[in-house]
Amino acid sequence: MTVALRTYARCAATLVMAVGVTVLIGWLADLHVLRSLVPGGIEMKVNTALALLFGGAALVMLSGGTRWPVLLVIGKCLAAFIALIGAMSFSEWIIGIDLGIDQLLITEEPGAVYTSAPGRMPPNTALCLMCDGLALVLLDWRLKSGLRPAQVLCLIQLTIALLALLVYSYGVGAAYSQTGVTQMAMHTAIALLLLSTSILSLRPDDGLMALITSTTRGGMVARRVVPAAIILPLVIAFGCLKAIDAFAWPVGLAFAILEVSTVVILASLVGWCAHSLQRADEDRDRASERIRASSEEIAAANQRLHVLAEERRLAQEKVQELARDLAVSNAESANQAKSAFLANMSHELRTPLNAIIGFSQMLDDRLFGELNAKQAKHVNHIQVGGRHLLKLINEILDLSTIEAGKLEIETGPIDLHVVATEVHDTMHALAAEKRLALVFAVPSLRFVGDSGRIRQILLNLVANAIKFTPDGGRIEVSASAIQDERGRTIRLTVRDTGIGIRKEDLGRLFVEFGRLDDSYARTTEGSGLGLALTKRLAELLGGGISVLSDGLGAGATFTVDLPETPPSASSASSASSASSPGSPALGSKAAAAQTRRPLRGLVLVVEDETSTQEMLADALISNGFEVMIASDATEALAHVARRPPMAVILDIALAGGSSGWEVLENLHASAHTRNIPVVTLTANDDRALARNLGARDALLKPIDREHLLAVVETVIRRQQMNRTALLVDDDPMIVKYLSFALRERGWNVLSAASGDEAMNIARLQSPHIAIVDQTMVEPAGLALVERFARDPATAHMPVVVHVLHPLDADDLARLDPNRHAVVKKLESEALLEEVERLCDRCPADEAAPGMTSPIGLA
Amino acid sequence: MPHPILVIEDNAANRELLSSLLEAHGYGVIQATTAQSGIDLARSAAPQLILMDLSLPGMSGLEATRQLKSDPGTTHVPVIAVSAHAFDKDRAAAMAAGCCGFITKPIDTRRMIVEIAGILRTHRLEGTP
Repeated sequence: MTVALRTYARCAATLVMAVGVTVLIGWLADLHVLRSLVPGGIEMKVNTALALLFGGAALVMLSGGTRWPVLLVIGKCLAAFIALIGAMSFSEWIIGIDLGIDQLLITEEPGAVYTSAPGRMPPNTALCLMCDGLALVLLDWRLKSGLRPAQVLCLIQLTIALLALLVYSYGVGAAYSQTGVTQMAMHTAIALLLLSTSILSLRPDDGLMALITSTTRGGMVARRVVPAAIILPLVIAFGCLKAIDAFAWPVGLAFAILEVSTVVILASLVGWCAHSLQRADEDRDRASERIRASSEEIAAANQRLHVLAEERRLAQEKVQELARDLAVSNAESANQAKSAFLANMSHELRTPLNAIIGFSQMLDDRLFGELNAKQAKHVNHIQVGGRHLLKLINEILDLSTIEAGKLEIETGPIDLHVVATEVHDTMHALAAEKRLALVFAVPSLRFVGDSGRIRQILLNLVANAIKFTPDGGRIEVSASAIQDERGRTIRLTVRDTGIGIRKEDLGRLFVEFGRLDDSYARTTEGSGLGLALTKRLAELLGGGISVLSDGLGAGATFTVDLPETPPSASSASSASSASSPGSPALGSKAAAAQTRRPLRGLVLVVEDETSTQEMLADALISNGFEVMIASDATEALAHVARRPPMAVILDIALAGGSSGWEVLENLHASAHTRNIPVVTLTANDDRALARNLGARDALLKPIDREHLLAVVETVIRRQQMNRTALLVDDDPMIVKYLSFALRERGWNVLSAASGDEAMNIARLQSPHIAIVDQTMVEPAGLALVERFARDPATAHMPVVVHVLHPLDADDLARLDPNRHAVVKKLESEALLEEVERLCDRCPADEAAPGMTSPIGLA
Repeated sequence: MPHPILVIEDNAANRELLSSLLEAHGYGVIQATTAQSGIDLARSAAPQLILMDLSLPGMSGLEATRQLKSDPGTTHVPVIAVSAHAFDKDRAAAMAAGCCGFITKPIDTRRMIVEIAGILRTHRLEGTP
């Protein structure tokens, strides 16, 4: 529509210019017909024609779309010029003076019709031109209210021009002029109408024009009503006038008809518009209804979408959960498969090894008759090979268990000195074979930890040191506690004077099967797993391992750091008073001498080697003992029968058909000799076996003189103390086994099957130690331990708790590491060791004063 | 004639090993290769001790031990488990079933003899207080 209107504006402007030019030519050529366009009609004045020409031109220039901005300026100038002509001409009318502009270009001959002054345009034309000129000048001026003055000016001009045209139409032009006003020429009126409508068309989207051109219903009504309201009354009025002339209608009738027609036309227009509006409203309502329905559908669809989205989210979560479960179960089943494989592998390898090791051991023990030298050597090879394989299997199993995260740490109170002593005893013989000095300087550090794993770490490191240290070297094992801001760290150090390690090899040292595959390593046997396992174990305990070496031949130092779980505060204070009088520190003669009590008594030494006989006798005699010596089993038993000794030192490997085991068996078979403490001497690690047969302690050859004396003193002292142990267990089977084992070691045994019974016995008979089953039903073992601790009469009594499953940290915290120990069930050897150790550490004379003496104390 | 020791073991070499070892130390030995035949033998021959392999075909050694312990005729006979299962849980399971000892394969023949002697002595002492 905008484009169409603009096109109309340009066409109309062109037409206006054509009219102007035509009239100007008429004036220049003095052709009247060109001035009036109708023969004998009213002529257009020169100024009017010029103004119309300029107006058309200005309109074209201002209609937009021009490439030259200068045209806009020229257009505005022309418009201002038109307004000036109009204003001046109108002023002449108002003021009544001649400004001399009327005949400036062409002088009109006097006597022209309908002219107030020669060449002067009529006042309505002047007013119209002034309006047009101003409208063009102010074309784009817009008031804040949205009103455009240019449009108002155009409407004023339109009204004036229309009135002039109607006067012509109704044929009353002459009458009009007789009012004393110069008549506007008909073509002037038409040109002015075109001009004003053109100006309106230039800005159709704004102000008053927007009402008409808008696509709203308001615009629709305006477009229908305005043309009809303008044109139809004109036509009817014209008809009425003609009727008055032709049929001599009275004027009143004509007016009445005009009035009625106008009313009917306007009413019809209003009705039509109202109907249209109503239809539009209905359409709109229907559309709204459809929109509402659609909205509801959309809402419903949204709802469905939402539900679907929620379902999808749930499904997604489900899938993720399943994926997680699957991953977990995959990992678990992989882990289970690995564990099952390990268990199977272990089982399947152990079964044939059983035959290999068992038969070779029996052959070696000459159970099937004497072997010749070659056979003996070969049988030995089979045994050594079998044991090596077994060690390998155990190490692989340990490593795999650690890798699978299944190796449990079994924490309990630890005395590092005790652990180190065990390691010393185990490795002593091996070191002696290579004439290595094995020096232990491990103080009695007490903390909560896994003694089994710490022992394993130390054993591995010492075994490693022995393996790689040439004959005559030295191995030092030391320990210390390092305090820093994170707490206490236990540092274990194993230093050797061995072959050392090259700098570039240090990194490979702890890698599985990463043995340094060089000539020097070739000469030693080993699985290549020992150090890797040691590292894993240290890490498992929360610590780490490091190695230092200055290169080949410079020896090596292995350091293990283990974070310490400190014993509970209550036990820390009693730690100093409980420093062990019964377990002298190895390698520390001063400590051993300090704790030794002067005891005199008879000791039987059963030993077939003269040099060892002499050494033992010398050591014992120089310390105040009386000594009997026997060289074989028969002699030994004869000595005992004649004069029972306070202790027997028994070499197991006796020459001449009889063995130490036989002596041990015989001594324990008789009630008279059963309580004589026996300390065995063996070259290989048969200590567990010796204890099983009733030996109180077992020493490894070669014998450390100080250690021997300490052990002999300890076993005699223990025997003399006539110690009593209280067994608390509701399982008669366990009571039976443990009673027997304790009695074998010289203990008096009391037993109780319930907590109350145990408390009574403990108060009345003050046993040296209690052994409590943690799995006991009523009360639970730990609760009983706490009852003992609360009662002043039993508070100082040490207690060994034996458990089926390792205790957790909370339960451990309830125990005092100095007075309480935890041992696994069915490990009677470990239990007995703990009983002896605790009892040595907490002797009865340390107990509260006024306490009842143990019954049967000599 | 002292009561024999009953060896229940399905592996021929290991059965032979245990029998030879025990016989060499003067014990009488009777043998069974399955748990059921072992239980039958325990009821009929009144052994003084039973060495029980735990992984037997068919009925396991653990189940056999439970049956022996719940039978008044055999409940007093000590049972020592002999197993190539070396884990702590295996030891605990054996104890729960009623075994009074647990020996891991490969066995240490010397230690085993001593252990057997110890257990038998305990039983004898209990029989004659």
